[in-house]
Amino acid sequence: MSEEITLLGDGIKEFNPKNFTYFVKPTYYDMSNLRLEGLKKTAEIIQWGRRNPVKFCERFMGIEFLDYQKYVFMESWITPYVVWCMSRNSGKTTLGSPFLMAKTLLLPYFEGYILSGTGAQSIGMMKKIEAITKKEIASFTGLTDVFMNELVKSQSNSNGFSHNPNSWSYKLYSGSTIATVNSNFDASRGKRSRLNFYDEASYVLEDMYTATLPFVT
Amino acid sequence: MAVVKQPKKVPIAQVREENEKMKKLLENGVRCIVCGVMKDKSKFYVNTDPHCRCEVGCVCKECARKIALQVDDDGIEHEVTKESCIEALKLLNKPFLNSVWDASVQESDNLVAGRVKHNPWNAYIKNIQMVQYVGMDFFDSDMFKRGVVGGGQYCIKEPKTADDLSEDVRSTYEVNKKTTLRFLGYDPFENEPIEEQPILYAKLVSYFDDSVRDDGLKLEAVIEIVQSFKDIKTINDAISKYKKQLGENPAVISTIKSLADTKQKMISSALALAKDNGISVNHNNSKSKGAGTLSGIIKEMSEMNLDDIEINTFDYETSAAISQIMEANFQNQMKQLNPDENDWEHEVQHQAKLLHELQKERDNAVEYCRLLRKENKDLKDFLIERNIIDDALNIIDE
Repeated sequence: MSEEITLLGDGIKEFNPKNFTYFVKPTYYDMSNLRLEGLKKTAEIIQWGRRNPVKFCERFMGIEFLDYQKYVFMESWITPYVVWCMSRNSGKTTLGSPFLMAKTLLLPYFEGYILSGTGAQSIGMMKKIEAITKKEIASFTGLTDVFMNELVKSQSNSNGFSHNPNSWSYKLYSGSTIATVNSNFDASRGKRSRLNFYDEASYVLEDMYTATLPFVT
Repeated sequence: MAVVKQPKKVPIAQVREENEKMKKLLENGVRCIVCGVMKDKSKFYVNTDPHCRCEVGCVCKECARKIALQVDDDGIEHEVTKESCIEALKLLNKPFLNSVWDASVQESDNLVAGRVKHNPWNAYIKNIQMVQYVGMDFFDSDMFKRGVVGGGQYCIKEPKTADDLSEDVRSTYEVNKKTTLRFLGYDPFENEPIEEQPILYAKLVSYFDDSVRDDGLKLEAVIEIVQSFKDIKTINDAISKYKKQLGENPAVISTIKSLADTKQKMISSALALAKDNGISVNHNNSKSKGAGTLSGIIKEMSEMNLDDIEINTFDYETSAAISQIMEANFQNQMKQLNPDENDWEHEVQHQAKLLHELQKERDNAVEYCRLLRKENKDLKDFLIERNIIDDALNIIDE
């Protein structure tokens, strides 16, 4: 007799049929129990952050959001296609920056691109991310150094943000990257991405969508 | 006629001589209680018990040796054990002291010294007759000091086994030992005392990471460092022991100094190894890889395929926060919609089509889920039958 599956409640465990056990193949890790427990605790925090990205940004990056920003952020977090239709001065770029920062911080090997009608426009968003990271925005009080410490730095790139004229970018230790695509989008064909962020999307040419949407397929 | 055999006539001088001999033997001889033969006192070990007036033991040297060496009926000598040695000492009324025993074993094994005693018994019996042990009898033995006597046998405190460890320590010890064996392919601490092994394995495992796995020299350095710090701890214990004696015996200061110097050298050696191999946080050469950062840890966990870090979008979608937002969004959409009759017609058509497709999809999914659950149950039953897992789905360790 099959058991009834209840599709209500919070968390994946609620969806399991009752009295059904899963066998999980034991995995052996070459490390001390103490260290393994520490990693599992960190994994728990990461998973919490993935479920609650707004809270994660507030706690870890020190960014405070308005209610409608929280709504937009959460609604966009796992939705495949999103359009932010927001008024002037409503903080689209400002909201997009922590959104991309949270995505790169919480997901390993995450690749994202910032695209706009012009290269300068996409660089503008990258500058916003840089300003938040370096705590250069006066109205953002309580920003932390967490994101700054996660950036991969080198001799030639002391703060972690690369200002290559072709593409501004940053990279985290988890292998996650965000890069801008300039107006010469034909040169950027064939890239792979898990997120295309079109800033001022209504002014982006149809050809650019044709060239860049395949990034995410 | 019966013939009465007359005793052989012996010259009176000979009888006198034999009488003298017998008299001498009676005066200087003792009867061994094991072989029952009357022997000269020189054939016995001296008994220093003040109550003993005859000054020698009641078992002759030869019989004591035979007991200690476990000589069988064919006259073949076997290995001297603590038990056989104690058995002989019991008859000789001499003490069994662990320190003397250890020294005797060492002495019999030491070929460099020149004066080789062929077995520990010879060495032990020689040593126990030294002046410092005069007046001690069998009941001054070490085992009586601890009071571990039972079942008619004298119990020697044997080295601890894994079963002697407490439950918590043993479970961690077993995990760490398995991890070490899996990592190294051999047991680096098999000759260490069992009571020290849990600490050694725990310390060693705490050093394991990918850099240690990839670098053979670093691996050796890590083992050496763990050994060194264990030895340093032993020296620390010895120093504190000597420090307590300092008031009564100021001469121990030189021993303390010598131990402190040795300790210093060992620490320097361990630190040099750590520095050369980038082992401590201070000398870590993997900083560029983002060790200790959140994203670095995420990458590390992803690479080691830790289940807990797996990306599960279903879990995120169904979490309280996101499902609440989704619900609010849906309600808002419904509020915004103000359809007329034509819109409704289109909507109903669209929904009917959608419902039909989703129903089919759902039925397929339910059937697929049923098959998977059946397979899951079959696999579990198979594993249980083969005694690979128990009913609670735990792996049965061989």
